[in-house]
Amino acid sequence: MPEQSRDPVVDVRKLNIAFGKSSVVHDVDFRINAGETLAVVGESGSGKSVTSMAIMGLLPKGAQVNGSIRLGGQEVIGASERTMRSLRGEVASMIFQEPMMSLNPVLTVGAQVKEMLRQHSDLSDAEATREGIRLFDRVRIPDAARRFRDYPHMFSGGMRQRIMIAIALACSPRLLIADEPTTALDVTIQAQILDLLNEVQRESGTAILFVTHDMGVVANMADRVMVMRSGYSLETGPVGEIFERPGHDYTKMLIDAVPRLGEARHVPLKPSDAAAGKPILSVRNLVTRFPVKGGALRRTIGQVHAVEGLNFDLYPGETLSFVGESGCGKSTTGRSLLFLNQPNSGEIVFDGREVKSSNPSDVSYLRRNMQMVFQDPFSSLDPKQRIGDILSEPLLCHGLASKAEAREKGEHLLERVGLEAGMISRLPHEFSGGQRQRICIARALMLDPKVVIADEAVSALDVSVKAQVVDLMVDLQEELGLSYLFISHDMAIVERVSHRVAVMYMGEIVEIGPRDAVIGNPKHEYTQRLMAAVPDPDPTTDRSQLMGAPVVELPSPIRNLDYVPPARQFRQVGTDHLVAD
Amino acid sequence: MKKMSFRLGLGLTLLVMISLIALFAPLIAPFNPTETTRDVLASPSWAHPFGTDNLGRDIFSRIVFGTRVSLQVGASAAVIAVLIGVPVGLAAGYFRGWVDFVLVQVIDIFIALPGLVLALIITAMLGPSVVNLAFTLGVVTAPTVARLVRGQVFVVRETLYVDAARATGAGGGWIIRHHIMPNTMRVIYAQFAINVSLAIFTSASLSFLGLGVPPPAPDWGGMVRDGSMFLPIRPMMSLGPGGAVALTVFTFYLVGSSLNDEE
Repeated sequence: MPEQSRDPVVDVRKLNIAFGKSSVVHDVDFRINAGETLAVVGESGSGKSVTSMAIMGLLPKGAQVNGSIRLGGQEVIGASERTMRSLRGEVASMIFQEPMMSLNPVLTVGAQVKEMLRQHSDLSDAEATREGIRLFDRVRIPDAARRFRDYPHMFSGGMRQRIMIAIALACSPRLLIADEPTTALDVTIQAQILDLLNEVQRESGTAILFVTHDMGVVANMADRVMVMRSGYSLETGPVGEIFERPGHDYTKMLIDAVPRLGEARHVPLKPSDAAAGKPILSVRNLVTRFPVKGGALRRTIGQVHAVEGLNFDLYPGETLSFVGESGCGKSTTGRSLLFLNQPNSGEIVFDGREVKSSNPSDVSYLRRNMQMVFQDPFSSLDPKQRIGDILSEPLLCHGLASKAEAREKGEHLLERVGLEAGMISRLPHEFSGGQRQRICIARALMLDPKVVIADEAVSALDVSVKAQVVDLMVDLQEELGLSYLFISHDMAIVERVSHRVAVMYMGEIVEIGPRDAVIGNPKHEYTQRLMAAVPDPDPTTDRSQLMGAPVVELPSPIRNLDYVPPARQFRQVGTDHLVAD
Repeated sequence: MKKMSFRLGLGLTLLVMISLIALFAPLIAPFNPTETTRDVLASPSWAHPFGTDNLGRDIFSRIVFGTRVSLQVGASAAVIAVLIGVPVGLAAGYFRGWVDFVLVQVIDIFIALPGLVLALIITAMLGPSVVNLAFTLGVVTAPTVARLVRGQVFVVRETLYVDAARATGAGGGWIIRHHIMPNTMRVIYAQFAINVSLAIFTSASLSFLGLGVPPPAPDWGGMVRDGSMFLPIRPMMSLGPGGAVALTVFTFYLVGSSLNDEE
């Protein structure tokens, strides 16, 4: 790390930001020196993103900003747009959460790097190309020279984020602001991007302002940490100190939300009745494929093998979690079980009755006994329906109750999920994300189902709300004897709720077994990679450990029409612990 | 309920005023709109604010009563367009596949034909009358409604809350009634208002060509045509009803487009 220079790269004092009458940032102070990483941690609405936008002078016109922000010695507040333009890119640059949206889809990625270079220097076109390819190499984009002329849609999310970093680094800024740069990425990709940022910092001594909600990432990235809540800075300190002696309950809660794999520090779950009795749901050889159309006649030219030969049993009262990265088929599995996506083949036996998608009464039977909670609580509730209508719908459309009975049951369940019965005549937009997800859970329970499929049911929620909703789900399971099929990419939550875990990769289960065995003692190579990528919440771990690991990309699940998937053999490595060869 | 936009507020205010004029036309108009007098082509005065026409009828009173005819034609045409367009759009959007394919071809053929020409042909075949006019304009504007509804149904169909309803066992009819229709109503309201303005405009054009409301009923398009011969000496004979058409079309268009902008 280069010598800490005399002046901080960015010096923020008594920063206050308000939009109209609502004040969103209060008296925030911090400074970052060259070569240092400050992590700003907080949940949505904490003011962390607004603060970083203020440093770049990117706040919308109506914002009232008070205090002082000195960027490389230059005051930002009140600076002219002209001054700001010269600061952006050269002194400070920014990368955002959504690498899909921050690149221009109609320009080649090379052109977008060159644009940045040529705006801030007088390089010729050829020189800019050379420099751009050098930058692509530096962020470890394989085959940089050839891919320089490719368009953004030809890159994966992780690769796009690398391109964003290359663009941000083009003019060797002294400060890099990273606003949740890995939140939209899978864990294995996240680990690679974090490594890259650490490496870049060691080489160039760039100061990094890292905005995140994830304490695990903080432990891997930060030198110092500032915790924010509702616009206030709660505490600031070196990362080791914050993790060892958090000065605030809120900080402690954020730290507790990070998974510590294999330690099973949570209260053990009530054991399921798995050993007793028959499975409530049995799935054999489930296959779901989506056609890929192409050519002038829009004929099917290939297939996405989303779910391929899935076998599993779900027992009464147990939680079976499906984990894996985006595109591995875990959500499609959940949707196929309720025939929301039509499976191509396979056998689904629910409570001893074989269910066929071609038979409407089978489908209706299944949808009466198995319910689903979706990821996004904002789009899974009809904005035009009152809560009472939303909750009554399952009972009314099956003709199982009168309107009054349904409403009474709805009120009862609203109270059961921690809301008030009086809220039944409100509209969805009057509720927060966590409350909406509680409503979705209440809706799922209206038919007294035996199985609930939770498709990333808590992934969109803030850390503190997430914990409460998960606790609610565990309580409900014990009280009602529910079985959960819990689909998630979040290892912390999976570890908290599961009796058994199934790891999915490329549409197949590669490892399935009891929670402690799969998480604590993974046997399949992919499971091991997945577990290793989960950020280690111990800030004392050597950060350079993982560096230089090869850039691994998930292969494409699109196959030719004549592709026959190989038959999988499973071997038993422990009690109920199966691993694919 | 969110705060109403200025544009919508203005549009609705004008709409209420125009409707009141239509409703209380006999009280507002100082003269019988069809009664001819010997006082022909009088210049504007206190008794006749816009003067009289070549048959001695009070132009102001005719404009006031013309509001009734225009709104009748416009509203019934829009109702007919919705009655035809909404079911077609719902069917195409919800069932997709070949149903959609066939319906979209039909819709596109109708949209490709210029509305005025189509209306000319139909009215020429049916003969000019208020009922025929409303029917013709309804048929001509229905494809736009169908296309819009179809697009909105496509959007709503893909939402998670429709998936959620399917997952609890709701069938197609239930989903259309409880989710798709309520979330499509705003689009329909907006297009209804725009269709009223379009129908009033087109009916005025048809009347100008002599294919609209038959005389002696006070009709704006017909009045503009009658007045065109006297334009150099009595410009108000054409400009008065022309202005009324413009204001009414503007009002309904404003309501429709500002309804579209909200949300």
